[in-house]
Amino acid sequence: MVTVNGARYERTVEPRLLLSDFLRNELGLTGTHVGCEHGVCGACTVLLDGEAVRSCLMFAVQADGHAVTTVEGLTDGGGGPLHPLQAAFHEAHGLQCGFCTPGILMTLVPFLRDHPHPDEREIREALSGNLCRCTGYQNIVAAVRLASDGIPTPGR
Amino acid sequence: MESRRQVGERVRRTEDARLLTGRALFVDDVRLDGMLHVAFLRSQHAHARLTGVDATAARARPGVVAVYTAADLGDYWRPGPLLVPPPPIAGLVFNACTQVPLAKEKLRHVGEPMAMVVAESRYLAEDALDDIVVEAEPLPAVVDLEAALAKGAPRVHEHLPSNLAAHAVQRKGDYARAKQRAHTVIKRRFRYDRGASAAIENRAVAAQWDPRAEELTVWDTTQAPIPIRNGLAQLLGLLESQVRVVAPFVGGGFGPKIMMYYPEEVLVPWAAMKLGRPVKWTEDRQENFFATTQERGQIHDAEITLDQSGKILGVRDVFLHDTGAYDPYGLTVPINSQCTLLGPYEIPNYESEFTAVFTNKTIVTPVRGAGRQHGVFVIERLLDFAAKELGIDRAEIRRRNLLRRDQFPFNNEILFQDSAPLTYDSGDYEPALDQALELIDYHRFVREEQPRLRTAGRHVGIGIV
Amino acid sequence: MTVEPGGRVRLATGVGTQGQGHFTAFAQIVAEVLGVDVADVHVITGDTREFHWGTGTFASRGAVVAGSACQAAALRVREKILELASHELEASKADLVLAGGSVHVRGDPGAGITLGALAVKANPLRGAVRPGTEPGLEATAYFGPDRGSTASGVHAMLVEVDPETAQVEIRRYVVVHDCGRVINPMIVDGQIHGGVAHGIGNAFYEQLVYDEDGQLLNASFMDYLLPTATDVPRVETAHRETPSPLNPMGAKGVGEAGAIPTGALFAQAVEDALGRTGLEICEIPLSPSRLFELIEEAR
Repeated sequence: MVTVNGARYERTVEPRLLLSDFLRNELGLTGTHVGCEHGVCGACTVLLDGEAVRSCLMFAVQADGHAVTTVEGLTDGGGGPLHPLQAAFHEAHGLQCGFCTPGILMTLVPFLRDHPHPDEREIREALSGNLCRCTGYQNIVAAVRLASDGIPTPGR
Repeated sequence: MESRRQVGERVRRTEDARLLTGRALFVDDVRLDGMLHVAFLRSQHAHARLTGVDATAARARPGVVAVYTAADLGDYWRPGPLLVPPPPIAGLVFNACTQVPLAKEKLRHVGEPMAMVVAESRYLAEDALDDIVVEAEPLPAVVDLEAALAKGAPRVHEHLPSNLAAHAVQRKGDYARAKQRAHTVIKRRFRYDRGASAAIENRAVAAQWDPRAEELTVWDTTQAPIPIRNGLAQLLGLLESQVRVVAPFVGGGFGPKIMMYYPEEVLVPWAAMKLGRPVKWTEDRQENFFATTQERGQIHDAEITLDQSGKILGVRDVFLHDTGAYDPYGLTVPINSQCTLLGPYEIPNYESEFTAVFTNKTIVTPVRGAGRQHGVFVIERLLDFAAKELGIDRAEIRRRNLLRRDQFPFNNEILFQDSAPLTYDSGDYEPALDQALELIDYHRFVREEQPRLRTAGRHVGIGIV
Repeated sequence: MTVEPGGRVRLATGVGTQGQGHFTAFAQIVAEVLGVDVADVHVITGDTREFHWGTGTFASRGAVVAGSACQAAALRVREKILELASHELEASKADLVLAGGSVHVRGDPGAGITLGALAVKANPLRGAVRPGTEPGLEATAYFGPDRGSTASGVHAMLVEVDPETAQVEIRRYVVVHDCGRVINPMIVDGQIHGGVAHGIGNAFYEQLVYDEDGQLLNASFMDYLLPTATDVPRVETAHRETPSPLNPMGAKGVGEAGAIPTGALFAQAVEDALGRTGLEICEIPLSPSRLFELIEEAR
């Protein structure tokens, strides 16, 4: 039994079924992408109880009793407004083919929560576990800066 | 109010919303009722005689719907087409050997597919791979380019007398005469090795045959949906209008996704029609290193001759090109190397000779740059060594050799892959050089900063090409 | 290309797209010709049901070949719009302006008709097409240049090398690029950033290692190293535009450019950093371990 993007699901699955395959094939949440299945590229990153994990390195059964958030959970779906981080990516041209993007977004959500005003070095380090072959990372960094500019500094 | 200017503007992308919210369709996202999944049994040997593939146990495994070997394909089995016939270079030797859908009798590179398992899930299909019994006699592998051409080397394609895939010589002017006038001759051996395109999305093909409408739909991570449609229609005996190929969002191409008629691409649609159920294959990352085309190495023995002022009199280059186990893409990559060596410079005399070599490795087809990097590396390095020898600044020696704006269109005479003499349409190179020098503050760095840093024990260098 | 009754424009092309921004770049070309908003141009790529002819996206050809065809089709549709509008508005074509999704008489924005309404009028309800005309505001165009155009550029780099560890750090990376007429500078920059990152990977981090039995020893991302965000520098870009005479827009390509000179640049800059050591770099890829060996050899 697992909660995904706020909805509860109960399924019987083989122990060896990866969480990434469970999300994509069982639940039809294909926004989470699979790039390597050995935990290096980060495309499959989702949140488990609010922390970023690589869903290709977890078995679905390990998520039993936990809450998972995927990229689809960042918006209400059905054409509603973008999450501020998504809007920043759009504004800064932080994606090209878009395949690595969901994994990067899900890596950044907890990062920005914990580091609302990172400098460039911190941003690049936070991104160093996500591979992108299209953008050269430059506009991704710009997008994060833009997003963090929009995060109010406490005390203002 | 006239229509607003749009071209030249930093317009934000209309496609972003779907990609950002996970609503974009990539091929592996295709899910259809009753869909079956494919795994390929791939060669563990780089070079071997294949004497048996026994799928009996695999077929008996619950959840496995079918297992196909070369023998099961019947008339459908045939080598792929030659995608790019080489241009009419005088004296060209070219041996076309194209990939096959499933190996028959011989294995020519690690990862070459031997059998296709179709099952209810990818997990079950992979389980069944272990059930297949393969009989193969390993042969010595052809890996090193020079060893591949040596007498007595094992032959990747035994109907050919050697591993020579192609040999081509192109000339411009008279290099030998130019060399006689030379003040300086620089000669070096260069090795330039490329790699995989490594798009973050691996390849995938899904297919569905609708027997009522008599239409085939194929989702494919291809950069070339229309030729794939045409080729599949022909292979499967359908009208082009009966085949729809969709390349939805594709997670990076970079070249290997325009290699066409990959084994998986021709087999998945065939299986969908045969089994009457949708079929999908998705490559995993490890497979990608073997099953998707790459670029690899060339070895160049090159020399440049110049006059005292550093003006290029001529270049001669002899190189070997690794084409892998098959050469369906013709000579696009080495010809690009051959042509792009000339670069933005005026090189009045040029002699370029290459030998493309079959090896027991994955097929080489264009990857972002498509062989141009190799040519650029050679000429730029030769100029650097010449600059050092002549005591001329690196940027200066380039400036002295750049084509001028009034020389365009510039005819380089040698044949390009479009079968016409390589001609540059327009260009204005010197101002670009100046702008780059200014942006990186080249002269000040070389004169002041670099010596200062050196004194402080720091090794900082500047490059400009 | 078709103008639909709702006023949006539908454009289908034979090339496929893998992140190069075709949906937007082609829409820009069309939007400018037809006077509509980029968001109102709906682009379809990569579906053989929608378009029948063409090869694909490769060799940096997309903007040149498909872009030129989009422009040609848009110009034909524009001509049809003007023809029909001049009839509807009883004005000469020379006096008409396309802007804001409508056609109006110059100087009189109130006297106009939306493209959507015009599209409805272009659909002969009783199936009676006026002789010499075609129904709808629709056109198909193709483009095949005589030969390829040649883009150009200069790359420059500052690197710092630690001769003890052979670690290389890029301090600055500059690209001056000339791809002729630029359709969307944001997309062009993105292509250059990505190309340079790809080139840095090839020059320094990526190598397919085969043993003498033809076995690939590093078939995974753990051992085949792609550059990460901490490995790729900021790329400073500057654009020049020397138009190509071979297509109406004057465009050249940019998809591969970033990746092409990087190896040569690395070799030169690293040699320069190591000064008069006699070190010569005649191979790519370098990598810290290979560079270390070369440094030792040169000693």
